[in-house]
Amino acid sequence: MTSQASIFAVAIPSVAPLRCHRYLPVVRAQAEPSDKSVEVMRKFSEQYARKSGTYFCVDKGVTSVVIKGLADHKDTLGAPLCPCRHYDDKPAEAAQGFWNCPCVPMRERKECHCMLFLTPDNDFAGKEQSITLDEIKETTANM
Amino acid sequence: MASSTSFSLTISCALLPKPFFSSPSSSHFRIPQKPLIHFQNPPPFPKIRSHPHQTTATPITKDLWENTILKSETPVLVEFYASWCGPCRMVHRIIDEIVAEYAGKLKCFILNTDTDMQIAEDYEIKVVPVVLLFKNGQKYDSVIGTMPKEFYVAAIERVLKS
Repeated sequence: MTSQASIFAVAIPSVAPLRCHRYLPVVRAQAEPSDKSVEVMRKFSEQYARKSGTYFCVDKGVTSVVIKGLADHKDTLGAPLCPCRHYDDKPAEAAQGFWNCPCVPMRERKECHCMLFLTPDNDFAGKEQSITLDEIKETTANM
Repeated sequence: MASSTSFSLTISCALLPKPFFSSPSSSHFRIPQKPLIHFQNPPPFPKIRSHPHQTTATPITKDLWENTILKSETPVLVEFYASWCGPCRMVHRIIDEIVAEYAGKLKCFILNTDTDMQIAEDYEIKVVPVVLLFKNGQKYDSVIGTMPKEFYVAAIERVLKS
């Protein structure tokens, strides 16, 4: 009943990011990302949307949560690892880079299942390529 | 220390139908070529609210998995999510509606893959959100990515009729 993908793309580990892995506790309370990282990822998201010709979700709450997720990974891992995947080993994934935003599927095929960058033909694409810090705070307050 | 030994195998879905909002690395799924239903704006997903998330689906943990999911006499739905996954919150809203609509016929749970890594790994969760459907202790179906509500309902109906 299930179909199996048959093509394997073996991602070559990049040489550069050999950073020291901090051993994070497995269970971590969901802390707020730093304002600085949220701002960095907010600006990155705006710029990359314009550059790639993609748009934010019509529900900016989705955009806001993802931007905060990227900021959280930037704080804890040193890289904006995609927050919409599950990883056995987050530090290793962040160092490897395939799923660091903008991930390889986004760069190659404009595929962002996190719904941060949506092509205009997507049913959930809004018309905006900008989001303010206030919007992010407003839509994610008390989460 | 060399961390460069960590290879990541990524399954491309170039040959598979283009999913709605699912990851290219999902390896087991049934997804339509195009979204089954095209919606007018605004989309049928309730907007993310700024008040605390109040899902009516019950959070599930590893300790309760065996008794609650695998030994359940009624079919079970489990949504796997991650803390900062935006689309997961859209799927939460759909599941909340399904909880009410299928009360007595289907039990619904949510599992945080950030805190219950073992279960996520047991079921080879790579991308979130993922909705798994269980019947008689067996995984019956899975819906990977963010889909229209009708897609989840169709999968549930198949489980209930099986």
